[in-house]
Order: sequence, then C-alpha cells, then structure tokens
Amino acid sequence: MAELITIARPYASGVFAHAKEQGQLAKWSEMLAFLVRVYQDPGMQAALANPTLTRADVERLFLSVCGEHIDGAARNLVGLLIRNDRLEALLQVRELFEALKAGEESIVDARVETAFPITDEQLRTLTQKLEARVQRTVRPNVQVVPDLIGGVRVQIGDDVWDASVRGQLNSMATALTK
Amino acid sequence: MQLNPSEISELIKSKIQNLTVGAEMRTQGTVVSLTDGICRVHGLSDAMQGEMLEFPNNAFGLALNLERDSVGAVILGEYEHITEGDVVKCTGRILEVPIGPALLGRVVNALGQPIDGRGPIQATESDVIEKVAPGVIARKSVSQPVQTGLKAIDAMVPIGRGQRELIIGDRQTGKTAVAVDTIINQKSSGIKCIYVAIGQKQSSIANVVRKLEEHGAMAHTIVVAASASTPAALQYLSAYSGVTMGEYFMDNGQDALIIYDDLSKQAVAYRQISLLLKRPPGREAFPGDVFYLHSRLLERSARVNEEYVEMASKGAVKGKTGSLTGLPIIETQAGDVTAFVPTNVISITDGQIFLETDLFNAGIRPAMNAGISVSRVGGAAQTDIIKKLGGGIRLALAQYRELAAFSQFASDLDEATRRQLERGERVTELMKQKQYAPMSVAEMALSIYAVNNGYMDKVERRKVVDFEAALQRFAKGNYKEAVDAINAKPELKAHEATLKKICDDFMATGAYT
Repeated sequence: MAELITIARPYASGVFAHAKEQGQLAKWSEMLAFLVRVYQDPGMQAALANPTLTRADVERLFLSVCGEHIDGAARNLVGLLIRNDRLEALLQVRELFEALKAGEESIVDARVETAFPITDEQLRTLTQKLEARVQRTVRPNVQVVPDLIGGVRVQIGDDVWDASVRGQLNSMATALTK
Repeated sequence: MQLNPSEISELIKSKIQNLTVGAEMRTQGTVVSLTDGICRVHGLSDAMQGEMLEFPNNAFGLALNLERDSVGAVILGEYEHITEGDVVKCTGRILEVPIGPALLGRVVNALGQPIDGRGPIQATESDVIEKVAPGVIARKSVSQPVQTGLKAIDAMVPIGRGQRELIIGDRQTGKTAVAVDTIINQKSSGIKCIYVAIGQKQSSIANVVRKLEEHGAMAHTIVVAASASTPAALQYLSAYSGVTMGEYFMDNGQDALIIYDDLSKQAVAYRQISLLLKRPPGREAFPGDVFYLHSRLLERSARVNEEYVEMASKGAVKGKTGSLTGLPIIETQAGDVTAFVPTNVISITDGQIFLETDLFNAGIRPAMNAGISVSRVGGAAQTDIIKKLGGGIRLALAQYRELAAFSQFASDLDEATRRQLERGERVTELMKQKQYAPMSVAEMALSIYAVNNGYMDKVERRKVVDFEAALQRFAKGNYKEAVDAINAKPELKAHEATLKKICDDFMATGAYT
C-alpha cells in the first residue's frame, strides 16, 4: 500500500508550482495551515466520519467553514481532494509544500536537541557551523532533552549528527558487546 | 569453559582504547509497521540495497526494498522488542560473517555465531556474504576428482573439484546420506567441507553432527545451521554465509566442498520474505528472481587459477589453484522434477544425481537412477583407473535396463541376452553400498574389475554383496601393499595385472566357486 506521503506528493508539487507562478508562496502557506486546522478540528473530524454525509455534503461543509479565509484556487484544491477521497493526505500536502518552499528559499529546518538550555550565542555558533556544512540557511528548532546527559544532537531531514554523551555511551556499549 | 578474569579486563581495556568517540553522522528513520519480521521504515533516504540497518537493542535488519518514501527490511533474529516509532539507523555496511580455519569443527548459525556451546570462535577475519562470483579469466577447468567414496557415484557420475552436482530426489531417498558419506570420505583428501542445513529439524541437524563426530569428520567440517525454527530471513541468508566461509579456502589455494541441504527450503523461505515484502508472486507464488537467487549462489562454486589465488590471498599463496565444489540438494514432491525450483537448479548445475523412492525401497542404496543421472564435467576429473573400469559398468547397466523391459515378453532368451541380463543384475547388486562406509579408489577398482571380468558371473545374485565383502577382506589381508600402491597411483595400465592376480587368487581359495 502506498503511503500517504506518496499520495500527497503530486498535490503538493501542483500547489507549489501554482503558488510559485502566482508569487503567492507565503499566502498559500497560510491557507494550507488554515485548511489543516479546519481538518483537524474535532467537530470536522466527527462530520467526516459520519457515513450519511455524501462527498458533496462534505465539500459544502468544509468550504462553508473555511469561508473567506481561502481563495478560489484553494477552494478548488479542497474540492479535488474530497472528490478523489484524499482529504486525509492534507497534512502531508502541507508538510511537503513547506519542504518545497523551504528548498526554494534555501532554508532547512534543523531539530536541535540539547541536554541543557543553550545561550543565543551558542546557538548562533552552532547554526553557522551547520550552515557551512549543508550550504543552506538553517532554521533551528531547539528542544531541551535531559536524557542526552550532555552535548547536542542535530537532525536535518533524515540525517542526524549525534555529539551527545548518550550517543557516545550507546556506541561504546555496542563496541564492547560486539 | 573457564572464564579468565584478566583476559576479560584486558579485552575491555583494548576495546576502550581503540574506541574513537566523536560526533557520529548517520541517516535515520522510524519504524512505521512491523509484520512477521518484515519492517517498513519511513525515512532512511540514503539507505542502500542490502545494507545493514541498526534497530534498538542491538537488533539488525537488512534493507531489501527501497521505495520512494520508505524502506522494506527483514529483521535478522528476534523482533518482538521492536515497536512502531522506533529509531532505525543506517550502518553503511553489508552483512558480514567470520571466515577462516577457526570455524572448522564448529556449528554456527547463519550469522556465523557459534551455537555448539564451545565458546567464542577466534576468527580474525570476516567477509561480506554477497559477492560476485569469480569471472571467466580467474577460472580453470575442472580436472581433479572429489571422491565421494560411493561406488555408484564415483564410477558413473564422477564429481570434479569446482563442479556443481545436484542431488535430487523425494523425501526419504537418502539425499543427506550421500552428502554425509561424501564429507566423511574427505578425511584424508584435505578437502574442507561446509554443510549448510536449511529449514531442517534441529534433531536432524544434531544427528548429522553426531554422525560426523563419530566418524571423525568434524575436524575438517563447518556446519551452518538454520533450522526450521529460525526466522525465514536467516534461512535464506544461511546459504550465502556458508559459501562465503567456503570461498575463504578457495581463495587461499585449498579445496573446499559445500553442501546446501536443501535449496527447496531456502527458496520457500525466500518466497515468504518476498510475499511479505509485497513483491509480486509468479509461478508457484515464487518471486521473479528465484532463478537469480540460486544462480548467483551456485556460480560462486568454481575452480580458480593460480593468478586468482595469488591475488585473493594477497600474495601469501603462490602457484596453487583453489576450488569450491557445490553439492546442492533439492527435495522433489512425488518425483516431480518439472516443478519450478527443481528445473531451475537442474539447469544451473553441471549434472545431477537422481535418487528414487522405488529403488530405495527395492533395497538399492544409494538409490541412484543411473540412466538419468549425469555429470557434465566430472569425466575430465575422474581417476584413470575408475574411468576405464567404470565405462563397463555404465554400459552393462544401460543394456540391462533395455533388455530387462524387453525380456518380460519373451519366454526363452538366447545365450548372449541371458548373459547380459545376468551381468546387469550383478552390477546392480554390486552398486549397493552401506551408509558410512566409503570406499577407497583401490577398493572400488577391485570390485568393478571383478564384475567386469566375469568373476561374479557364477555367484548367485543374492550372494554378490557377500562376495564383494569377502574379496575386499581378502585383498586387505593378503595384498595390502598392492592396494596402497593403487591408491597412490590410480592408473589401470600399471595395476591391471595386480587386480587380475588378486581376483584369481581369491577365486582359487574356493570360497565362492
């Protein structure tokens, strides 16, 4: 079975191409965020789970909730997703859209985990080092994870730089038990 | 085994000293689903086909399906502790197993870990399990024999070093017995043996190991055991682990023999993995690459030339050829050799030994059907004396089969026909051989010489086996030096007179006249 992200990919790249052509990347980013909020609303989820509602009903309901927050093209996207029964891929569409947008703007998101809160100065140094390595603008998202004991762990996409005490202990355990 | 405390602290010290600790850079992903040992991992964008993946708690997997957003992997070993959302890391390595002479005499699992309770294996080297077979330039033609010690096989379907000879037959026809006898007979030949047990009962494997130990054959043998209770991934991989261990000997200018017992079960294990990985099923629900599964495995059995050995051993061994003889075993269902896997393996190998239930039940053991068993390259490797004498056996049996069918309709037969029938009967009888009693070249030559030259024509058919035993005892007792001389230089021309003399002298004792 294909994963949702695979299904979402053509929608996301379609939306991205359209938004780029129109010069509306920021606006689309907001609209997609709004659509996701609507979709994730418990009331909406309950309505979507209701088997008595037809696709046309769902479409009407969804668009009426969104109201004036989205433009014509976004209404078309919602209609398309509902008619193709792919509304559940909306989250992934947004994620992929944001990734494409970040790629276009040469920005990567980095998840920075540290054992203790770090100062702005330290974060700046770290960000500069990461930027030199990945050749992109790095947008750090710092989280404090005491389990690391010490040091820092950075994740960009699927790649992980592990310079934490926990990581070193793990690799030592592997080396000793092998 | 006694643990030596200083040894352990030394070991830990050296390990700590050699441990380089720094920031590690790895690609990782998360477990999305886990079904029957098959894991789907999201992420791992840089994973390679066949790469080892590291799961939590020292579990490892093998990346087999690379898809757009996920990776399908099989887990090697226990997988109960892995849960959805676990972090999976790439290792950048391909699966390796330990190799070298330290493995001889040991029973290991598909990953090369000891399972015989005799402590760790002191192997210094390891090698990847998936390798490309030696190319045409590196090869040499097959020219030396592997003596199985079984008259029927060595006389009619000889096996050469570096050959691949299929042993095929239904259940309970003595396939494993042929293989075990062959291993036992390599005690003095210097051929190292690897017995890969795939999908068998633990008790059967234990039996084989015990028999090998009883006959002193474990010293030159490695047993790779992937029993029926081990995960399918390990059953599938065990054949490749075994061949990698065998290649070590080939690459170092030695001769090795590998037995895959059996490849039908390996194909079934691979089918299970493939279906769970959602690869499309084909004939008999096997995946599309079952032929490649076996061809790439058996292609690694080869005889390699001196240059290759020198290169592979990094100059340590010069002027020696190496070989890896493959004896795959296939179990057929109700004698159906036209099923998918049997036809594949028949077409890959250089010949086959057909074992049949009817013959087995008629008391002809090994139950080889001489008519359809062939060896396509072994003839060039046969010892001179057996080659010359064995021709008569094949001919006698072929004529016997033809006449036996025909003679059922005719009531009285002419003298020549009757003689051929009787000769055929005696040859058939003579080809019987007890299990775990391999024969030397000289013993075989003597028996075959006796039947070819009519010494057994007067012997009652039921007495042929006794006659042979008595003849062998007589030769061993009275002509020990002559027998040793034949074994040392197995040429018919030099020893024909000796063989005649032994037979004449035996007849003169009057025991069977």
